[in-house]
Amino acid sequence: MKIGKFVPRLGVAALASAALLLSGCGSPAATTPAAPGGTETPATQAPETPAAKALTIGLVMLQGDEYFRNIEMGLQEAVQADGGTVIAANSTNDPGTEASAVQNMIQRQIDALLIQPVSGDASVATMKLAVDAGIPVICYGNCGGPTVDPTLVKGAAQSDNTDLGAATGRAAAEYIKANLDGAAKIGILNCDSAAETCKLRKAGFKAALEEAGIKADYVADQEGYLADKATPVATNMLSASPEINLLWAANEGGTVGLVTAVKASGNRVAVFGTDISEQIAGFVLAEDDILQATTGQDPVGTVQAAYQMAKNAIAGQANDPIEQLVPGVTYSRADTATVEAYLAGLGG
Amino acid sequence: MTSQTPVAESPDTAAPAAKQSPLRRALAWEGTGLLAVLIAVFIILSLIAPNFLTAANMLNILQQAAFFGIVAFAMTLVIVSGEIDVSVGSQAALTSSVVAYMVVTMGLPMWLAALLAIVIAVALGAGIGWIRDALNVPTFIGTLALYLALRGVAHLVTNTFPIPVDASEFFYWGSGRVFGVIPVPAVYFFLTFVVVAVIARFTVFGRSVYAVGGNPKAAALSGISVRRVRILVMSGTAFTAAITGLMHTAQLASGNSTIAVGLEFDAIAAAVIGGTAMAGGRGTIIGTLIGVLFVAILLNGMVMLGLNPYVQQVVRGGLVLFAVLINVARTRTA
Repeated sequence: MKIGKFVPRLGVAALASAALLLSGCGSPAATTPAAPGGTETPATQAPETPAAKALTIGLVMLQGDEYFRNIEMGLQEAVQADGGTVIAANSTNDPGTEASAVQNMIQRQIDALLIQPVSGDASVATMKLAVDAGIPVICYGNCGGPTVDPTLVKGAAQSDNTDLGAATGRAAAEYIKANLDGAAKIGILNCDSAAETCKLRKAGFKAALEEAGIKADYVADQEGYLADKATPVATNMLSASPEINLLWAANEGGTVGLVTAVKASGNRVAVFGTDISEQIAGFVLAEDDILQATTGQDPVGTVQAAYQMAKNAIAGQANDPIEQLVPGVTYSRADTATVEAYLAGLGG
Repeated sequence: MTSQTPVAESPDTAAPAAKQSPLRRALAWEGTGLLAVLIAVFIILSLIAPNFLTAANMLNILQQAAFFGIVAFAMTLVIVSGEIDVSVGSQAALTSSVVAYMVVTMGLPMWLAALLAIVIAVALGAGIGWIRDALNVPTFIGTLALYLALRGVAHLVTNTFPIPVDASEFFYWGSGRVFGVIPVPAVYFFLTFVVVAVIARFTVFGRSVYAVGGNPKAAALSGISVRRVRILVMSGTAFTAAITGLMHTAQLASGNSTIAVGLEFDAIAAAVIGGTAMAGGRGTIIGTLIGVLFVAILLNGMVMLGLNPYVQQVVRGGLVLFAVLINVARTRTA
């Protein structure tokens, strides 16, 4: 064989080896054969008791961040305690990718599907595919309209997103009354295109200010939900509208972006956020006095409630009520003990 | 993206091998190695991945392959001609958004809205091809501008909300099954393969694409209209992107501005894995077919194995890197 033809073939062989090696590097748990699907588990199974058989649970996440990392870890912990397997996928906010992931999971013969749909309208057809395959579907976030319809889902456990915004809004109202004479020029970083729940958070935030009698002037409302992109947007917002004296972000990336931008600008602008992470908790405790308060979700509580709903559905038990709202937790400078308890829970 | 390759390697360069036995020709074909890898991966996944080797899953793989494979075939011609198109994902999103807007807000019939959206896409693609030739603006730059702008227009049209479409019969064209068995997108996939393969191998235009990719100046001197070739190949990817956008709209029963993120890279990856040279002038549609099936099978198998989704991204990136290295080695040793 000539060397000219040998080199490419050697490369192909290396490609094959790499592909096969990686194909085989699943965790032992992941390669556990799927339990047969169906809904014939005895209905006597009470909530909080482990499933009678090893289940294969499909998990579709929206994006890669700390919230979804905790969602996956929380589910892994609960499912593996029952001897089951989690098949996880990330839709990256793309309904097309979401459809492919669910189609693959149906072929994998999962026993239940836990999904945070990209959108109510765009994900219904995909969720119907699972329903038509006899797989119970549980919505664990971004649930609303058709995605909480009992003909489509067997249960929905999600953060109360309106209240996530409203809780921060109430904290902001107190700050405005105490420091800004009841009126504020407000800049917002939204995540409207990333998830419909973001719009609920924003509505909740605005409603809380209105209910508190705050005179709010929304000077800017720009998109910024990933920290790297949110930071320059926030910087530009502050440059364009120097009269802004209070900022609010609708998610974790936006909150980090706002704090980073205010810190870099050297201006004194109060920041209020949404979501919690180790970094954001650090901002609340920081001496710079920039981030005043944020309201975080409870990902582990949410996904484990969704998993319990899935087990009930597999056992043939109806989930009543079908929708469970998991409250958020507000972390503020006025209550640093809650922040420190959160950090302690992380081991930090 | 102009090529310095002195001589284009069209499908006809296999002519001297015509006198060889079929077995020798098969062994000499550069796609043989990839085909062997594809078969090996398939066998291993059949053995270790739960529920991989079922008829339903094979059809599922073909359905999913269609959503990037159709674009990959057209992308192969673009790359062979020495160009690139990174706007196809945004183009698909725009098509989906515009169709839903025209149907729901303007009240146009679905067929007319789909036709108009395809015309818009093809016009944009042709425009980039014309700009490439007339103003010497690299297609990477032109399509990068579209990549950013078209996604923005799609967001504006939909206000980032999905626009539900009363699917009824239209839903069939994205998720239906021919004879109740074969997914409709899989039929599009194989039809596109046949059409593009015939164009590439048996038409004057197809030969011109390879000639322009190998050496555009020589091609122009030999009487080939380089501008026409560039306009047509760029129109081709825009057309297939629009078809993919329509398939997504039908499958999801809604127009979405957030679909098809990364479609361009899946299509380019499949073409490169299938042996298409990024420098232009070399590549085959059958190679891309194998590349598409390889990627689709591997993605499906990784889900079946329960691999972490981020590991899956690493594997995809690694595959592209290996394929490019093989391409480089092949070019240097040719």
